[in-house]
Amino acid sequence: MNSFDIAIIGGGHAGVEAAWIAQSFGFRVTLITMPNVSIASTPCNPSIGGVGKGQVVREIDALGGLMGRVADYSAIQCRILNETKGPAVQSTRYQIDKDIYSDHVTKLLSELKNLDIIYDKVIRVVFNDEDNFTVDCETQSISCKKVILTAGTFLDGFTHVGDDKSKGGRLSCDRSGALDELFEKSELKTLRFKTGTPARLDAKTIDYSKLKEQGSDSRTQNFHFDHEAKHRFQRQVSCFMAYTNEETLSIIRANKERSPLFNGQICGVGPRYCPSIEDKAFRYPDRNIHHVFVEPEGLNLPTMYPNGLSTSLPLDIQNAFLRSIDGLAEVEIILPGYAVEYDVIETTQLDITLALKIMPSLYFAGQINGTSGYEEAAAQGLIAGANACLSLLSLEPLVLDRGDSYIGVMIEDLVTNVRDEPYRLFTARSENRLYIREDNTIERIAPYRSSLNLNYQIDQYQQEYIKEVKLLSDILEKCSFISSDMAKIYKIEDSFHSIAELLKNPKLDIVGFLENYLIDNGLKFDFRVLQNVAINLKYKGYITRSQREHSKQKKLLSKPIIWQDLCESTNISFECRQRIEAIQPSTFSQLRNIKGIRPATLAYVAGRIK
Amino acid sequence: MKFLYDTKPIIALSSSTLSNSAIAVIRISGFVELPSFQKVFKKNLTLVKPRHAYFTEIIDADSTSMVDEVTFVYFAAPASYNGENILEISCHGNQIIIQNIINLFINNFDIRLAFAGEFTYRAMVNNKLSLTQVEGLDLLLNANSPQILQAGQSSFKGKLHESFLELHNLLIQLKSSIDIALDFSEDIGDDLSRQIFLDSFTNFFHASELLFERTRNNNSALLNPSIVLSGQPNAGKSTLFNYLLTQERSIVSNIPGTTRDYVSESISIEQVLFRLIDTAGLRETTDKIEQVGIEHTKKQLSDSFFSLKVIHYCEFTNTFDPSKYDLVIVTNMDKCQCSSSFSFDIPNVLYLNLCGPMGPVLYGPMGPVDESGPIGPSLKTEIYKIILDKYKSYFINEPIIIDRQRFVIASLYNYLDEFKDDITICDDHGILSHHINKISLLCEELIGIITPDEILSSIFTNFCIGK
Repeated sequence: MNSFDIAIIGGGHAGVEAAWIAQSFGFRVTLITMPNVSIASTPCNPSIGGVGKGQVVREIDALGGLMGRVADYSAIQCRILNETKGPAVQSTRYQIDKDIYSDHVTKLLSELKNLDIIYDKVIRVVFNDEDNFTVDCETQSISCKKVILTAGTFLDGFTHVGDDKSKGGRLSCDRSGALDELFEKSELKTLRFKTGTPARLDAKTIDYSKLKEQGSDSRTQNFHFDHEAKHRFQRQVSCFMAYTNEETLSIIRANKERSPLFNGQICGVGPRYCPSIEDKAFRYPDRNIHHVFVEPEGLNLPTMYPNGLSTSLPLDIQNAFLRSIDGLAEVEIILPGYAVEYDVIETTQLDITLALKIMPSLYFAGQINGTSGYEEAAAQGLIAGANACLSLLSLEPLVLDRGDSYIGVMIEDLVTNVRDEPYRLFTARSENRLYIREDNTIERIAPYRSSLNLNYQIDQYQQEYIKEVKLLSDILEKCSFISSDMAKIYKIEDSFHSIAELLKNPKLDIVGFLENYLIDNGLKFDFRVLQNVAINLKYKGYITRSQREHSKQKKLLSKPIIWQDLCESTNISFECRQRIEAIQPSTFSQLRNIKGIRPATLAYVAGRIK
Repeated sequence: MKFLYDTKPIIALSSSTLSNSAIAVIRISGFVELPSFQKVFKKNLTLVKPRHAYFTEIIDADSTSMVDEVTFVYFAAPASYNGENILEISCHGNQIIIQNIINLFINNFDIRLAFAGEFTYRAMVNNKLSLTQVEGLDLLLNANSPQILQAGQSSFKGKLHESFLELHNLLIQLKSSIDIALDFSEDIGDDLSRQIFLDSFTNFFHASELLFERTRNNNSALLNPSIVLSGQPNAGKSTLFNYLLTQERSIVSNIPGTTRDYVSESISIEQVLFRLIDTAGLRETTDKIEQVGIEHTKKQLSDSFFSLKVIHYCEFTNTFDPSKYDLVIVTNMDKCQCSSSFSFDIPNVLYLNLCGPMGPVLYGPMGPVDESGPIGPSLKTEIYKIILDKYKSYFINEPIIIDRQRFVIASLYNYLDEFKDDITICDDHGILSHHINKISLLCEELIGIITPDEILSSIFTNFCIGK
């Protein structure tokens, strides 16, 4: 029987990141993946990144992950989102070629000497002892110390196209058993979720002249640190925009009883942020115009992805409503849209390293944890993979703070709350949007990467990067000279203390200014460093203030209080003051524990602790 | 308010503490199922129906001896005070019995002592009570007057809560509008999301402004109302103070400056508890201790609920303005040679003799005083009536806004006022989001924490999101 340090079950985005990071620690790793399902495939929308998700891809890259470099390599249309809303909230999104993406990951993984890819279906996982599992597949068994389960939507998966219901994690794919089939006597709590995807359209049957074209943006900056910022690896193509109309929606509304979502066939909970077109039709009965983004799935693939039209209606109705859309009158469906129902685990059973609390050698990552999105899955895979390694090495686990990364936000959200619908990252989930930006990702993440104690090219790059950021910040804080040419171009007339102060001017194109300033002074810095420093300086005051508040809450309990002052406050009731006087608490935590202290008093004191 | 407690079952004595009483109520909250306590109950707990009272014995699990005879009621979650399973045991109110029962539960089951306020805290966590209601409850349990009690009851029932609910909803809209612009601009469009933001901000600002106006009309001194006696040295403040308390409390002498620091005592007027404060006479002095006393006096005056000016008739001249005080008492009228020069019809001025046979008495239109005491209304009754009238007038309109809320509202309003222009012209959504976070933190104490899930829910409910 083959034995490994770590076995990863599932070759999706979570699985491949887990495998990639785990082998980089030097461990013997196996990635067990279903035969006939391609590795790191993108079975839904053909894009990587997006608002909040772009940050996650960069965080994955800065931790040494795979997703960023592959997304760059397979990008065929690039966009900057929220461009007009300030540098802090911009995000990058790449449309990718699905085949190139999957092939490239397969190629990168197959070059790794510490990693064995096993194409087989897992039947059972047996826990023998701490750090000792046997994984039984259909044709072989292996033994390993840690297991990372990244089964995606395959756990007891069922797909729906109209009343055609079949077993499978994706259309025309196999499924894996339910959790209690995989683990004998498993008492894990699970939920049933649902997600869906639109039909794939024959690219040749679309009349693009009736759609609005959206080209690729050449200014977009690549995700991977070692790729030249604006280099494109593939030919760039366009996306297109179409709109639904009254006819489209009335076709759907007339067929409510044939919709698995509304006739009781599907009971899993779907994401509200990604509703099917049926959902939109019935939830917004007065609205008939919805966007449809028509996106290419690849340079050589015959299919287009109509983003916004996810559905599980029967094929004939899918055909009918699609053809009612301007530009799609003669469209042919290559693959129907479908819904999939699958098991996810209640993630409150996991600890912050994504290990199962009652069996810490078993990790869960990706869609099996009730998240949606390739980026969310990949990030969890990386965290679980790194933590499995760190645990084998008896080192401190990798835990990202929610104050400085979206990955930290997501994992804390997952393990502290039971989710009632698939979880997706939104920037709304972070309290710290000004700081968790794309441009400063390396600055934010480098301390975590260096805590892994690995020594690769990325580690040297990050050390160098941090040094340069410090150096440039120092220069700009101290320099207060500007040439008359620069002053003229940027219309700078008033006196100022330092270049850093100039960069706070909201009207100034800070990155462009800084670029020119450095050239003017014969200095050369990496563009990423320059951009990072410029935006840091722009928001410095705000960030310092909000971080002060963040740590204020954290440190509240250990904060000292002056009970004498409280006893004089007219805002505290007489009884409370008597109790405070009797106990004479010296910290907020002690104050809190005094019997009979009113909540209002605590709130009042908490609000005033410096 | 942030408690970082675990969710273990908790136990505490819920009735009055310290002295022995007939019955004591012990409450246990947050356990999984009632029959888990079987080994300390004689009654078969599997037969117990929620909200029924049962009489049984509590027994020591080890020695099987009886600890006490009790009645108990089981409230099943979520239909309980705080949304958890609750067991209320009424036992004999002897301190030793109470302690034995509490120890019995802590030793035999995975239960810990509750922190102060934790039952209610859990009610808030489980959305059984809002923060405002918890505060109402706080007023209810600690009220020092019938009026406060009523205010507590009405905010407990949600009246005050209702008035904050609007602010809460507007804040959700405001926070949503930022998230719409950032996370869902592809769905909603930039122009529409900008408009949604500006509208939400205007609405929110307006509501905060109104609330701020309201708090300014509301007297903060109501929760701990004080009556402050002030006046020139030797005007007779201490004599009056002692008279109102009917006890010798202040040191009285005819040497000006006898009362160097303020003296405070509680008096109850028709069940309302006031602090009566005798202040140091205000005058220029070189005595260090007296100077400190005068500083205190000034502070007491500015914080007071009811200001009572005591003034010697000689000082009561045309330049003196009685309307600056709630009540003016002119003293030593018996020594006045020209009382006919006073007009006795100024509404908030009383005239009196300090040294009547039974203490100070009213002087003036009520007529002369005979040997047995004052004729007409008693001086005390007269003063009390004026004080109570002012007190009651504050409760006619709406539930009082307590100090903490007033403070929060003021800081919220000041922040909004300071950054209003920044916010409405700024198109950097990073900075906007920073301001909105700050605003939301400021409101947190008033209306509770709004979670990202609430914001997202509101967006998904009100807008068609999703590609």
